[in-house]
Amino acid sequence: MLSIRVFFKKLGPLAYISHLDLNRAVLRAFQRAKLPVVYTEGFNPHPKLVFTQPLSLFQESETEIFEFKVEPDMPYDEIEKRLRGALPVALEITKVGAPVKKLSEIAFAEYVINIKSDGISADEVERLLSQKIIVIKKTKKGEEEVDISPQIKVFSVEETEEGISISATLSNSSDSYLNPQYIVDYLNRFIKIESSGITRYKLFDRDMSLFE
Amino acid sequence: MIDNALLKKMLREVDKPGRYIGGEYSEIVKKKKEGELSVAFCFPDSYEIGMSNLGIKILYGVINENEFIRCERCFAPWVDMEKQLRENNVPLFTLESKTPLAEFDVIAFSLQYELCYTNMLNMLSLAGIPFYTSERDETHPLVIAGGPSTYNPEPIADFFDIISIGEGEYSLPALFELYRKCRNNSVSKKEFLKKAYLVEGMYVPSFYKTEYNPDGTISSVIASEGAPERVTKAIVKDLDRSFYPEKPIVPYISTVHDRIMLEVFRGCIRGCRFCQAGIVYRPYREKTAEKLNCQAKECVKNTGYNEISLLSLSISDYNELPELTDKLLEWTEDEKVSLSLPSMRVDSFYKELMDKVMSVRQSGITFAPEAGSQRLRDVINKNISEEEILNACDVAFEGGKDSIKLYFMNGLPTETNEDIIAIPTLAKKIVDRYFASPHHKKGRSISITVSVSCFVPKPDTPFQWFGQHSLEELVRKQKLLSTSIESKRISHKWHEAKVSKLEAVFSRGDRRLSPAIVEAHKRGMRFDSWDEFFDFDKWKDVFSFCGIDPLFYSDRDIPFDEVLPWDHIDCGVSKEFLVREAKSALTGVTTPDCRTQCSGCGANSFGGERSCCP
Repeated sequence: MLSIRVFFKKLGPLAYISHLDLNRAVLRAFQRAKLPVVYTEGFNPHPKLVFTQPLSLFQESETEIFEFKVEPDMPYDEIEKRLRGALPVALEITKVGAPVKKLSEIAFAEYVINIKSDGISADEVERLLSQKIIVIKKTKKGEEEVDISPQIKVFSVEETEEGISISATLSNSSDSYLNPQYIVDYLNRFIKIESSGITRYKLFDRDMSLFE
Repeated sequence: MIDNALLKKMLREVDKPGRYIGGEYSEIVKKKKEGELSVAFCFPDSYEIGMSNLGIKILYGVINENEFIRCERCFAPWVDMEKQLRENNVPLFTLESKTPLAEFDVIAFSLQYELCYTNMLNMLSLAGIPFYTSERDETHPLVIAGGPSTYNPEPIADFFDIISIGEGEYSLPALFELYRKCRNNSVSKKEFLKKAYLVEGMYVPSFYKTEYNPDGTISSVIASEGAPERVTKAIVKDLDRSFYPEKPIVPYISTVHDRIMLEVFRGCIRGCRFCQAGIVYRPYREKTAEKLNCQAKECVKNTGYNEISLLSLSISDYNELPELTDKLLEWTEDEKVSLSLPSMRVDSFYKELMDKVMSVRQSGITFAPEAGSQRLRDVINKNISEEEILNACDVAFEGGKDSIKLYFMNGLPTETNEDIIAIPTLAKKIVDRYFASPHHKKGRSISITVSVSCFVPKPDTPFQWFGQHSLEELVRKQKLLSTSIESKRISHKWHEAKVSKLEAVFSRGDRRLSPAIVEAHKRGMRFDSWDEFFDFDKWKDVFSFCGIDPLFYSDRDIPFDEVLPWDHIDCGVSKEFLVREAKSALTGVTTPDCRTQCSGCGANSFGGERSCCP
């Protein structure tokens, strides 16, 4: 049995399809690629397919991962060739290979949040993000006020032609995950945001080394 | 092309933005080229419904086969997207190249049901294209339509330059190539239309004039400009050789029928007297099992779907069904592909078939007795007996099924209270049969769902002359049925009678209804087939505002000798046959299926390979 890790980009039109849709698109590509994908056992077997922390609708990413297994083994370049031929054009593969670290070791993700807004200074945003950041999170028990600042590892803000651009490294593990949309929603309470765009760029482990 | 930044902004504001992005696997994107003809193929309902339609897949594929024709898709935007389009002054655009509809040479609508007519106008309105043919000139696209509801094209005739009657995969490529040549040679629209009706199945409504009697009935329909007095539908002669979409688009978002649809045959040998599809798709034409098996393999390879649905009106009538299922099962199990059937006749449902096509996980099965009493089943020519229904249920029990759904109709011609009460009586017999069955497991129970729709008289059926019950009577019978159910194991679902009433108005309507559709559109009505938007009271206001009595169309029994609005459209089945069938219905005499004995409906004149016509 061979484990395969695929790095891909979720850009452009793919930002408008949900994680569930993406999952289904990959499963169908497996079938088209005629890969001997390993299935789960049980009453209703389905291919073993694992993704990194799903993106919300409208968010894009330069670094996404899915993993699966094949049986019998096949060369990685053959798997890559077949997958490239079977995936939708918009879903661009950047790397296919053996998993190095476990997916569960991913701890942080770097995002760029572009905000279109008139007359907003980087300093102002910097100040807003350097204090307690109280947002309302929906939980199973109802709505809850949470300070998300501990989940922001580092950030920087710069001014752009259209507004500002925030580069932020956020918690991105199954125990602690911060959806960057919370930062946009928080800022929207203080400044008028015309539009925003969120892109995930890199994934890191606990020691902040690049996850590959 | 639509501004990308603006599109992004709009998509943020809508539910299911995946409906509007295109870019799905196997989408056909062509570069614009010199001398091409561009066609915007429009489906006046949501993306999820439209992308589930086999006809759309066939036509999209076959039209794009011509390298000089660029065919793109457009679906009715949901109300939230419509709001965005209107607020941002963005015209309706196609999915492939995001081009506004008005920039296309042809706008082609697929009209599947009458209740999409307001959506159709709404799409034209969002595209900035005038509704009436008479309001459009050489600068506007050619606006055409086709699809099952155009067998009575009259309520919408004034909106279309051409209406394609019959099977478009045969006739539309020829029409488009003709238009492309005419346009490239600067032939005027009017001159082109005079050539267009020479293509099989093409109806040019502006060349026909309807005249009325003082009592509102039609006195005559007169053809001009050399157009034929009757337009005969176009059909595919040999389905094995006809285009089939072996590489259909695979949507990202889930659609209603998200699977491979393998059309096994076209037409139906049965002749149920209420059923329009059973008449207008005649003659019955089959594909060979070998061809179907190849098509299924190609589809699985090209789509990655893991379910194949065998599609046809009455699948168990297929001559080669055992061969087909055997061939399919040789490879589908290994590829983890499952088979499914949409519905089955009770008189040809057997254990082996069930084992082949239904997974053990599927706990339910659907049958369509249509009427509760034998008398009424004979009236509608269903040709099944109660014993056959009960036997089919036995087979289902043996296969471990413990939920059965039964389709019925309410308001059928000659129907009495006894016929209605016979529905729960039949359901109760099935419950009793379950508990008496050797396959009944201790501690398990059965659930029967009785799903009842309202009869709508449809053009080209033996029941086209019979008026629909009044709204009050339909509702009374629904209640009577509900209160007659005595078992907790039987549940009752019904269709909104008001929806069926509106459907009946347009089904048997004429050209005088088009102002009502325009008025309804003006009042913001759309998505009439969706419960959350359908507003019968508003429709009543529209009809009264337009001076139209809707019951003249829906409720009236029409004499056999009256001119029908669709008499000049020839669906291939003769009026004499329909009259004979209507009279047999009234006396409760059944007609055998086409294979047992030809009843001379007239469809044999079309020929057709692997047909059952003599």
